[in-house]
Amino acid sequence: MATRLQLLRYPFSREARQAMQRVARDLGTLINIVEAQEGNYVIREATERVYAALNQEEIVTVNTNDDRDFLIYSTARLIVEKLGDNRLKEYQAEAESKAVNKHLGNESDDFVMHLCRTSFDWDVERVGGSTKKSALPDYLQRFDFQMSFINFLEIAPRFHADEWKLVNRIVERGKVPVRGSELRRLISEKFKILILNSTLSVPTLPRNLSLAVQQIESDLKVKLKRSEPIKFTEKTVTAFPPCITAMHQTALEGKNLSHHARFTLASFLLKIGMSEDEVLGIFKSAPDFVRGLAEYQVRHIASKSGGEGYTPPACRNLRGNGLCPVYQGTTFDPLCEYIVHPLGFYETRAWEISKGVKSHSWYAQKRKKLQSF
Amino acid sequence: MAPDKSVRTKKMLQLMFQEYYRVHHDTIDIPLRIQNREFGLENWDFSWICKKRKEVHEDGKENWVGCGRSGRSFVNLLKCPHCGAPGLQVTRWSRHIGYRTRDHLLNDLVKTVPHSIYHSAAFYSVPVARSMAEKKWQGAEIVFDIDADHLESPCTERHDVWQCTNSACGATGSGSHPDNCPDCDGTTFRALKWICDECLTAAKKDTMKLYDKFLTGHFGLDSDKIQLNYSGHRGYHVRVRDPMVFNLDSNGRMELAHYISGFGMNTSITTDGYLRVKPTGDLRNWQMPSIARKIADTMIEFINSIDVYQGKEPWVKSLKLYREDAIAGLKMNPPILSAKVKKVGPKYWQEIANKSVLLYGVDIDQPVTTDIHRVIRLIGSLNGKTGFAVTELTRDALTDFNPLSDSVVFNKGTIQISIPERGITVPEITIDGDTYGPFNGSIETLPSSTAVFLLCKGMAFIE
Repeated sequence: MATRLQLLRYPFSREARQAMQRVARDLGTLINIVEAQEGNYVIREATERVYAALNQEEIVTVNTNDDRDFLIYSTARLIVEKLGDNRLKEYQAEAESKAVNKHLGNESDDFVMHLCRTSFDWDVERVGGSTKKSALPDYLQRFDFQMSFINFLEIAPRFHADEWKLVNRIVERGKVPVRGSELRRLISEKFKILILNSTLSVPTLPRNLSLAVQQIESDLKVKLKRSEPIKFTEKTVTAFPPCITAMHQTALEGKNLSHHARFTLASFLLKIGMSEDEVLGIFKSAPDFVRGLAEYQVRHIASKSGGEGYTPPACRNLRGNGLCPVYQGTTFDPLCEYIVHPLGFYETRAWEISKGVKSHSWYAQKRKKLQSF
Repeated sequence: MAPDKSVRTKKMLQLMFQEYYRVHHDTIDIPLRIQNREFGLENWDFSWICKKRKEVHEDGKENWVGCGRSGRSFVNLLKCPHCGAPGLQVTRWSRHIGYRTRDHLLNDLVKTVPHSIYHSAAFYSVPVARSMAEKKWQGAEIVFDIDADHLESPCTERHDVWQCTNSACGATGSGSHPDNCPDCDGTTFRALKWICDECLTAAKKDTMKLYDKFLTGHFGLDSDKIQLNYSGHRGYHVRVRDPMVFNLDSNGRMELAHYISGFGMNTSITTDGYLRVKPTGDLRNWQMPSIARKIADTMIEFINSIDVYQGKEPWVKSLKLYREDAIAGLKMNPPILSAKVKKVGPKYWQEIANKSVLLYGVDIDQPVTTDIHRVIRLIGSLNGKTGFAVTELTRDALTDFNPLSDSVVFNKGTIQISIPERGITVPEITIDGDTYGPFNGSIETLPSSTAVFLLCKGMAFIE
C-alpha cells in the first residue's frame, strides 16, 4: 500500500521496518553493508541526518533508488545510541518527529489510518464510522476521524493546551473524535516517544562509522557546552518545592517541558530573584529552544504590570495540570501540606536552611494544614 | 485507656476474623494473575525494631543507642522493652508480600489473620522486590475509589464529631472540625467520622453514575471487565480489568480522572441566542461546536434535576418554571439558550453552566486512580475498621445493596462491651435494621454485628 518514498519518510511503519530488514536483517548485517565501499554513502547521509537534528534543521529524505537508502535512518539512530548522550537523543527524536509531521500533512486520510493501524495497532476510523459525514450532527462534522480513547490517552497528555484535555472532548462509546491535523500530530509524537524509549545494544563499529561518530562527538561537545544550562548554588536548589525541582531537573536533562511547566518554572525563578539571562540559561538545552522566542517570553513573564512580573501558579492549579509530583504520589515533602503556593514553600524552606533547622516537626505545632495528599 | 482491655479486644477480634477466614475460602476473590501482585497486610499488632544508631549531641559528643533487637507487640511501644532506648521504628504494615497461588493466599490469611489486606492494582515481574525498579511494573488495572468522606453529605453534620485536643479546652462540636477552635483558637482536633445510610447511599449513587454514565456509557467499556465492590467501610471500589487499559500511564489515568470528575472542563459561554464557547485560551475555533455540545449536555442533566437542587440563586425559579423550554433549546444542534426562559440573561446562563459542571461528574478520589502503584482492599476480606466484608457486587445487585446489613458477617449472638466515658459521644448506628446508641460511658450487651463494629472502630472494649 505504501510507496517507496513513503517507506523512507515513515521509518517507524511496519512496511518500512520490513523493507529495512530485507536489506539488512540485523545490526551485524547493517554494519557489514555500510562498512563496504558502496555503503559509504549511507554513513555520509546518516551523519548529515544527525547534524540536521543537532542544528534543529529539517531532515531531508534521501531517495537514490538504492535499497541501501532504507538503512540511513537506522544508521543515524545507531550513531546517536553509540554516543549515548541523552540531549542528542532528544534532539534527534524532536527533528525526526517534526519531519514526519510535515510529510503527513500531504498524505491521504486513508494512508494515515493505514499507518495508525499497522504501525501502532491503533483503533482509528472515519468519524461516525460508516455514517456519511453530512448525516452527522454538526458538532461532529468538523472532525475527520475517531479513535479509541485509550490510544488517544497514550499520547495526548503530552500536549498541554486545553484542547487536548480529554474533559474538553466528546467521548462516545469509547471513541474520541479528532481532526486530521490532530491525528497526524499524535502519530508524529508517538514516533518521538518510540525513539526516546528505544535502546539498541550497539555492537563494535567499523572504522569508517567510528570516525563519523567521533566527529559528531567533538562537534556535539562544542554545541552543548554553549547551551549548557546554568546551575544554581546548592542552597537555592534545595529550597525548591518538589514541583519546581522536577521541572528544573527536566530542563537540565535537556528535555522539553510543557508550555505550562515552562511558564511555572520561569515565573518562579524570576520571582525568587534570578535575572532574565539566568532564566534563559535554564531553557537553553531544550530541544525546541528558539532564542528569540524564548527571550521574548521570559521578558514578557518578567515585565507584567509595572515590572512586578507574573506570579507562578498556585498548588491547586499545578495539581490540575499534572505538575504536582506530590499529588501524583511520586515524591513527598511534609511542608507541602502547609502551603498552597510554591513560593510559600520556598520562603519557608529557605529560612529553615539559613537557620539550620533540620527537623520538620514544628509544622504541625506552629502551622495549619492547608492541603492534604 | 487501659492497654490490657485494648489488647484483649484486638486479640478477640483477630480470633473472630480467623474463624471467618477458616470457613470462607470461597468468598475470597483471587485477583487475576495473583503471582504478579504485591500484597500489603495491615496487622492487629505492631512490629518494632530498636535500631542500633549513633547519636551526636550539641556539644559534639557521640554515643550509641539501641540494641538492634526486634519483636511484635499489641501495644504501641514508645521505648525498647529490652534496653529502654526511645525512638523505636514501629509499623503495623507488612509490604512486598507475594502469593504464588490461591491456596498460598488462603492458607496465609488463616495463619496471619490481618486487620486488613490489600493487593496492588498493578502486575509486577517480581512483586516481592523492595523497590519499584526491581519489581518491574507490567501494567495495572484502573481503579476508582468513591468515598462517602469526599461527598460532604449533609448527614456528616449529624454524625461526625470533633474535639479540641487542647487538654485545657476540650471543646466538642459536630460536622467536620473548624479551622480554629471557637473556644481556645486551637488548631488541632480529634475527629470521629461515622457512617450512615444517607452518606453510603450518596456514595452508591455516585458509583452507579460512574458505572452507567462514564465507564459503560462514554467509554464503552465491557461490563464483563468491570469489577465492583463495597469497601467494607465508607465507599465503593471499581476495577477496570480490560487488558486494553493496563498499559495506560499515570498521565493518561489523570486525564480519565479529570474527565470523570469534570475537573478543568471549559464552561465559558457567550450567547447571542445560541450557546457558543467563548474563544479564550487555546481552544481552537473548530473545536467549539463539540465543546458547546458537551456544555449543553451537562446543563440538560443539571436542569433535569433542578427540582432537587438546594441552591437559592435567582435563576432557580425560572428554570423550574420553564424547564421544558430550556431543555428543548439545549437539545438542538447547535444548542440554543431559549428566550422563553424568562428572567435568565447571559450572566445567569453562565452561572448555570458553571453550576452544571459541578454536578456533571463523579467525585472520585483522584490519587487512587492516577497512582499506578496503589494497593486496594482484597475483595472478600474483612475490613478491620468495621468488621464488615469487602463485598463483590454486580451492577444489578448494587441498586438494592444495603452495606449496613448485606456486608455484615458476624451476626450470631450478642457480645458484652464497655464504652468508656469520653469527650466524644459515640453516635447512633443502624446495623441489620436495628438502631443502637448514642453511647458514652456504659456497658452494653449488643448483637455481635453492632458490637464488632464498635470494637473495630476503637470506640469500645470487650468486657
